[in-house]
Amino acid sequence: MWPSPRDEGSREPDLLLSSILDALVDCLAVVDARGTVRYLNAAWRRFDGDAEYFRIGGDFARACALKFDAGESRDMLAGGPRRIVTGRRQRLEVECSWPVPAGRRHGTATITACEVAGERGAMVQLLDVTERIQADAAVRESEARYRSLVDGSPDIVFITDSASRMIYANRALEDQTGYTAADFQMRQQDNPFLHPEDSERVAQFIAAFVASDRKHSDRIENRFITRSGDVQWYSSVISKIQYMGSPALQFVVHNITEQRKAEQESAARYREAREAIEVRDEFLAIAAHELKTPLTSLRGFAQWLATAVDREPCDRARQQRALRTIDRQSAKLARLIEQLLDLARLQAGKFELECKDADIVALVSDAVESAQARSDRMITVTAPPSVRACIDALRLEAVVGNLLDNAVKFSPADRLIEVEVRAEPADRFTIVVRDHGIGVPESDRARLFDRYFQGAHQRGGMGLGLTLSRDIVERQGGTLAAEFPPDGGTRMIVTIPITSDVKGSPP
Amino acid sequence: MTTHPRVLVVDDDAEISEMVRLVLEDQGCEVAAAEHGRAALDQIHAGWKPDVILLDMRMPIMDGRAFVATYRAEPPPHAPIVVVSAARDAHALADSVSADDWLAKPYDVRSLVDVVRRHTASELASR
Repeated sequence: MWPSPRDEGSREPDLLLSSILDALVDCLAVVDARGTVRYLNAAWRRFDGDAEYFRIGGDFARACALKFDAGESRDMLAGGPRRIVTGRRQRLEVECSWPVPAGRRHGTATITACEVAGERGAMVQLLDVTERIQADAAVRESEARYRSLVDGSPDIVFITDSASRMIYANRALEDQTGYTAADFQMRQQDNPFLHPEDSERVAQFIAAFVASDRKHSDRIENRFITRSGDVQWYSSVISKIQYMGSPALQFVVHNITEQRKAEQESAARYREAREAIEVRDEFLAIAAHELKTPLTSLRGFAQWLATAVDREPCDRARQQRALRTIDRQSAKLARLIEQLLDLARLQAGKFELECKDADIVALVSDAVESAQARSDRMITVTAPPSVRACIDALRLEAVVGNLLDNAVKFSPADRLIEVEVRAEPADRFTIVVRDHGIGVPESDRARLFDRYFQGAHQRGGMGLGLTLSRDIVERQGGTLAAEFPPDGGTRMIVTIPITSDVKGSPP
Repeated sequence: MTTHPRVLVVDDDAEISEMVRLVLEDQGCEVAAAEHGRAALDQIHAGWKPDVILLDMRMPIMDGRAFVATYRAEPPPHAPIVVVSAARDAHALADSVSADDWLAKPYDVRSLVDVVRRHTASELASR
């Protein structure tokens, strides 16, 4: 059946079949049961070249030994037709290579059984795969280069195929998230890695990018959840690439958690600073208001006196009342200014106590006396004859005066204010100022000692009294506490150790 | 002033009310004091109709703003209201409640007398 123009003993050549076989790109040879070459198509003859190792009637195995590179595969190829003829196998595939002037070429030989002149023979089909192997090698090499580049990257790099399966991920993925590419053999939007609140936005972003004609996406910021459950912020850029010969998406994912945290912290600090400025502005407005109020009556009385003094008849009682008020208001102004200065010293860290041996009972009595003079209120004092301690007497008197002013301010004029001094146990003394006024609403209690805080009652003042008072008491190792008895009013309790070390400056 | 204009001083600082009374009584005014907006309304409802109201803004119980709203919602006549404030911008504060006039604390007694005279004169003339 095989056309063999050079073979005298064969049948008439089939010219049509011969021209078809000669038109083939593949090299084709037919070998009979004795290993003799019976047919070679034009492609094989071109492949054989001028050397003409392969000849009709020649030995196939000997020609192979001359043409191909030595080695196991050449032996398999040379003995192939015989194995097909004698054995039970119908088909054999052998890799082979041969030298050419420019180097070396590679081929795949397929040997299949066929009939030659009524006998069992073999057909050898040889395909030159040199270009394909080179292309594969180039792909493998570029992939290796790619991997060596991205494996060392501090950013996570991963690649997904057209079915959104992760087909490659660098080491950073596992280092940073605890996951490997094998954990992502599912659709991107279903994976546990993506924060649920971000997954829809990310899926839309990817879909829009894929549909676009752009090669690289914009940055997208989203959260990923690591295997250990930490939420981390990442910024990613997606690129369309060819990977292993197929279109794929490359994700370069940069961890921005620290950066975001820093941004948020600085935003928070900025907000705090702004709030502090607002609080201070508000305080300055209140302080100015508080200073202007006594100044108003002081100035008014002084100006009235200037005209009243020459008037006849002279109303001595009214003039004296005016003078007393001027005196009181200037004392009030002096106290407010002292408070402001204390605040300034406190903020500058220059607040120093001047401690000397003093009688607490005498000090409290003085404070009560001047509070009574300011307010005409009934204030009772329960105290032992004397309690001595080493303290800053002027400042403690200011503290008691402030507590008394608050008691006056926040209780009706006909209600008693009670003050108690105790020195039990002997290592400390306690001063209690109790009023029967409106107390402090539950909602305001937590902020009672906050600087600049003023309750909803709006009774004036700078919101500094309790802050400064507590500071003064604490610097002497003591405590200032507020209690709200069930029958109403407020109990302010100062407790200071008698033997404690006195702290003069902030820690 | 030939008649005795009535001045209502609404201020939680008793010393200021006392000073205003002293100054304005010398000018022939009749002066009443209230320590917050609610007390001022009580006084007016009790039949003491002022010719001018000197109103502090920052007060307990009922502040100046609430007083103006309540007072002006009542049937006329309405006395002119002078906002007297130690706030940063007494003028703006007065405008914000549509007051008739304003006086910034601390003030000269002369401007106190002037503002009262200005408003009681027109008030008396239109009576």
